Amino acid sequence: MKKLIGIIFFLLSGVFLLPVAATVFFSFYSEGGFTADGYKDLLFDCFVFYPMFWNSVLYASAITLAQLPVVILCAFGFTWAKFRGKGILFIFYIILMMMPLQVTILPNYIGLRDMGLVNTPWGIILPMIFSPFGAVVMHQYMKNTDSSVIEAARLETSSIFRVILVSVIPQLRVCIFAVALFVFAECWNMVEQPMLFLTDKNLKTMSVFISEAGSYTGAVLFPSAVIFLIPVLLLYLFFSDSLEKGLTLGELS
Amino acid sequence: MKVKRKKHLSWNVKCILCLAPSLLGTLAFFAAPFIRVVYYSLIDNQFRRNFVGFDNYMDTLTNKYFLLALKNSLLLIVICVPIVIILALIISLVLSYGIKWIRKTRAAFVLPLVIPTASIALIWHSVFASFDSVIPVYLLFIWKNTGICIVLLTAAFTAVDPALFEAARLDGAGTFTLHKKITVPIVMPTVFFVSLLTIVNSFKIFKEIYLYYGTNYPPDHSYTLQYYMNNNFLKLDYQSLATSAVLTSLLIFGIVMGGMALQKRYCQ
Amino acid sequence: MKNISKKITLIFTVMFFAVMLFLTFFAEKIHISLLPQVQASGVETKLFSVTATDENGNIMQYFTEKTAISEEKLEEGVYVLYTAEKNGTKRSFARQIFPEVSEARTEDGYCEVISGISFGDRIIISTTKELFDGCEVNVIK
Repeated sequence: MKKLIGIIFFLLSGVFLLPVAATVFFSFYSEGGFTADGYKDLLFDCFVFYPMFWNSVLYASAITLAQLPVVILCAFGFTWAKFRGKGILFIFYIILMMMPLQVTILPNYIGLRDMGLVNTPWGIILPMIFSPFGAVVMHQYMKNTDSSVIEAARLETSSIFRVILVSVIPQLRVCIFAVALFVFAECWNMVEQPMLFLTDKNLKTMSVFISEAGSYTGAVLFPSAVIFLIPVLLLYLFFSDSLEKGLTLGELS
Repeated sequence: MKVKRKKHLSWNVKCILCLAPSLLGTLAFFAAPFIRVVYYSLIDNQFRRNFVGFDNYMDTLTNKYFLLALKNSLLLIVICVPIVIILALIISLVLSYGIKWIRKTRAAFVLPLVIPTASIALIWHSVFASFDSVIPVYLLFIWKNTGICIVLLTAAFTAVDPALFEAARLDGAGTFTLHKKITVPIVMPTVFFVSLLTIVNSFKIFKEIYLYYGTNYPPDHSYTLQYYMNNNFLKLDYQSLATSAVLTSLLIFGIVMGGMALQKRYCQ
Repeated sequence: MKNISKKITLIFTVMFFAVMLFLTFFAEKIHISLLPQVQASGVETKLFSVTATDENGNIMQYFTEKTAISEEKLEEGVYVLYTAEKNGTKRSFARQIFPEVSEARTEDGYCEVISGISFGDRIIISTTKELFDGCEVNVIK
């Protein structure tokens, strides 16, 4: 019985991994046989690729790092503050989180235009910092933390930042990594915002590059897809055990 | 006594202040502009700005493209989300007997959600390019989301304490009642969480379809609400965009409210 | 086991970004160094003798300046420089031309060009690697 289940597991993993493996495979294979020509064309012949690559890295990192303090504070507030309308506020966040991007794109664009941030990196980074996804998920995790630790920390110091730092963060370290990973993946994946808000080619991200890759000569399509997924993959592998623990803690919501 | 009360008050205030940065940002970048969008949906033109009440809404609701998009979006949700959840349920039910396998392959299951869409859309496109239907898009969505549902649900299933089973069995409960009274209540919250997650993702599916077709005007069966709004944005038709945005928000609001009411009623 | 795989991932990540960083700065230089290094100059003109009869039937011989190309070059292959945008950046390419020449020759072995080369063209006069039609080149002074 156990063997059968093991086989099913491996089959399923195979199904989930298949498209990724196929992408890597096709980046090396075209027409004749196995060549690295695609990579040669991409890395040595397509110089607009590099700014876009680093832009993707930069934007995603900046957004993730900036979002963490905001999100942790916000989740803490949602968990421990008592005021009327807290429930309604949280529902507001959930609704905002569920909105497809297109609904908020127009408000975003107009807001950015008035602030003069269109066609700048900040136009992409700032709105995403306040994406409600992190706050909602973080709050679900925080509901399960031990309040006694917080009480103890409160007796020690009156600075709320200290309290959070000492009592909540160590407990939720794994969850923080999990949330950071998902936020990074979401930002890395961003396509609409760079495409619509940025007109300067040097500011665009690699996701836009791939969607426009048809206009470049050479077989740059698949190699760029492979390179695009490597950083996220590496990050994911690095934090995979934290992710496991983080996810299972979250299911108690 | 007085000192303690002071501390208690200011603690709560501090907690409330914690919400400040996130709240300010959300207000500045989402809420305030959204109100502006509602305003746009009620005027006739960017330049003349006459208040036209619900005329725009009537126009949009009778626009055949909007209705097509609406149909496609709803179809996607109604078909794909249950498939994902049922599939995940069945698989995790079967697999919950093999705990140690889960730990090894968990990484592979969550991978589809983490892998950037752009990379996957390419291979999907080259494989399914000849299929002129909306099924490849559904498949992409199912592939992406089932993995994480399986992970979460198996975690829920394995969290059921076998000792409870023993105790209940000693009390003379049959297998069916066992599962109904013990397994279901424990697993239900996770099912709701997973459903919520999947529905959220189903609304965000625009990226996948756009990258799959590589164009702003996909075949009719894949033309979703997001396409309608995106194209209006590009055409600078802010009125249609605003109206459809408001309508979509109302739709989502309704779904979330419905879901929460359901959850409240069930988790009594 | 977990620690080892984590270390491997970390090493791989560092290597990946180091390679990308290196390539960001040097890929273009490497690419250029692998191209044929060419020198180009404007089209030359030489004096050719022209014989003509005027209204009176007198034969006149005079010299005019015409676009000229050396016989050597004609045999080697005439390449004209042009710029085009490829993959988002401006590059220089070489196009092979087969100009029509007349029978006239000058003393230093230049042929008169009838068509194919215009005055503003830049002809490639030296190259470090063999050229072919449409190949990318790097122009050095």
